[in-house]
Amino acid sequence: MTLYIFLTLAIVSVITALLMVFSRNPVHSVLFLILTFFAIAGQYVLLNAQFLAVVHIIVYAGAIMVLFLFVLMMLNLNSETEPQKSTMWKIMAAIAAGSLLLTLTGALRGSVQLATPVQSNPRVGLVENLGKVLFTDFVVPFEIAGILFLAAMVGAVLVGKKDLKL
Amino acid sequence: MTALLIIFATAIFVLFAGLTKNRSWLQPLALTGCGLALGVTLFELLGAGPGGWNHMYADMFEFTDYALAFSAVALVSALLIIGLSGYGFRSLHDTLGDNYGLILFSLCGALCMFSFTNLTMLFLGIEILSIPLYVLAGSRRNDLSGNEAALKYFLMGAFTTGILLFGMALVYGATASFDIHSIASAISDGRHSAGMLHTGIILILIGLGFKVSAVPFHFWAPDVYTGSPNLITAFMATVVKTAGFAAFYRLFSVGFAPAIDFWSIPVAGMAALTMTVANLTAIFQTDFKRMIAYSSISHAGYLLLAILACDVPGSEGALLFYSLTYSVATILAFGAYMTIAEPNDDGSFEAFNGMSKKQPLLAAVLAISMLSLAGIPPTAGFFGKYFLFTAAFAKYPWLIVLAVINSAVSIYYYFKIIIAMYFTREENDYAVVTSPGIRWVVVLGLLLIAFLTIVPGSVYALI
Repeated sequence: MTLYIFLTLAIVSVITALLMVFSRNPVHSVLFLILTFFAIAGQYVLLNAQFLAVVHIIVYAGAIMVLFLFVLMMLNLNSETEPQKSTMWKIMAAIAAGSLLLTLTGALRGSVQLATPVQSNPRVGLVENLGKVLFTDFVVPFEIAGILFLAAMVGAVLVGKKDLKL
Repeated sequence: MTALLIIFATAIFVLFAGLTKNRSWLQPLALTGCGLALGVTLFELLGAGPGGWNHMYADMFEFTDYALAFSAVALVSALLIIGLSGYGFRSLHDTLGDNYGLILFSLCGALCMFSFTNLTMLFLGIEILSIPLYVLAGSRRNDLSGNEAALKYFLMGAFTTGILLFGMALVYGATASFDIHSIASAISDGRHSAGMLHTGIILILIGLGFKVSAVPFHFWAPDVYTGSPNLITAFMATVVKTAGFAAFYRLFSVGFAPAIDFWSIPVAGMAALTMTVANLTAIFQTDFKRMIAYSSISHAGYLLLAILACDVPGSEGALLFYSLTYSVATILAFGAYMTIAEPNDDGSFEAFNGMSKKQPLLAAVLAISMLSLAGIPPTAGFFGKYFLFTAAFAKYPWLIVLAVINSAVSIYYYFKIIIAMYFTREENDYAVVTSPGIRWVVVLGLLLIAFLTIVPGSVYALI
């Protein structure tokens, strides 16, 4: 049963990702990307990571996609304004990405399956356990991430600020 | 850790102090913070030891002599760069505090990268180092090339961060750990999945290769270095490179050491390519900053030798000594360059014509830093190259031959500056504008280079 769910989700995510790249209309691209995110969130649930799945939908499919749509509407992009790349570039990009895909699948195909550690606790992916780990084992990275966000915020404000002569 | 806390606190102070009308004490404040952190780091390195921090968070941070010594190198570079900033940041007004704050935040990231034992900390360190720099690269908002530099750096950096993260995920999948000591034991015990591990190592290699601008991941460097403000370029060429290599060396010499037979081949190829391509391209440059950009790529090639020789005793010391001499020489060169290029808005080699008559001290400093970068004996740069090449010679004689040939090639373009300053008849009427800050930095830097030249062993033997 789990295998069938996995396969359905995997096929849906690959197809919607391809449709996102190939669709001419940017708004359609964004909508397909949302579908891809939902399919990936389904995979997280299968992996017993419920909290991650919910955050993935709220942050990516929610906040970031709304941002994308806002930008698309402000720039008024549509199929006419899409820049046309020359065939030469398209072929080169396809060859480069194709060889990366081949190398990665070739390298990963031969890898042995490790004995997966059995999760004794089915509630491992819930907020309670995540919070415990975050505030005990990973408390240093948690605090250091604060520096990262502060630096990013200061940077964002600086980008939007005019340099006035006082 | 104490240094990290001091730098972070200073960054916050500077941010708030930037809100006041009087901005003249921002630079002294930043300098005091860096000096304090450097003092604490040297105290811990030479005498007291890292104290209680080491045991408290041992699975995230490990304040070995290695981490402390590299922190000291980064702090010295930052101190000299902030010392120059009274000159280089003149055009900034009410964003001055934010710019100092971002430089200090970036330094916090570098300090995380020296001491990590967990890949999470490495990733956070790289991000804290990079994100402020994306903004700082474009801090001259009306300058088109600055905007191009910022956007290019940001897009390429974000993309390679994805590659690096993918590599880390695969390594975690292969060894079931983020801890570099556990990764090493999992690799040597055979408790891992080889295909996944090797793919992960290659992807991490690509990500880190981008950060240290090794060929073939160097395409961003010349444009970004040229477009960014001079001080930020100096920061990227010194602190970022030191941090990148220290993290690179730590990860590969501890975490991936048992897999050395696998990754040494691509790293050796990268080193050979980096040295050759960068030096050959640098010959054809006519702009000082572009030349320095290619020179910094070529030094990345030499520094990769230390990673190849990571199982040879003494390679850590060689990496440390080389990073320090390279950083100080590059900062001195930038200090001298700014006095001639910024007031006259000309960064070509011709701008330096006849500089020896206008400013003998600055010309001499620039000449010494060029000689040191080229590795001419008896400058400090020569000892740096000597330590590096002897460490790697036993394992990679062909690479060392290539490196020596490349060093000979590099003399050609470094001497272009010296010839322009001392031996060119046609002179220009460019004004050389200095400031007390620049003079102080130049004197301090010269003392440091002299110290490294006279007693190179004192730094080499630190770790």
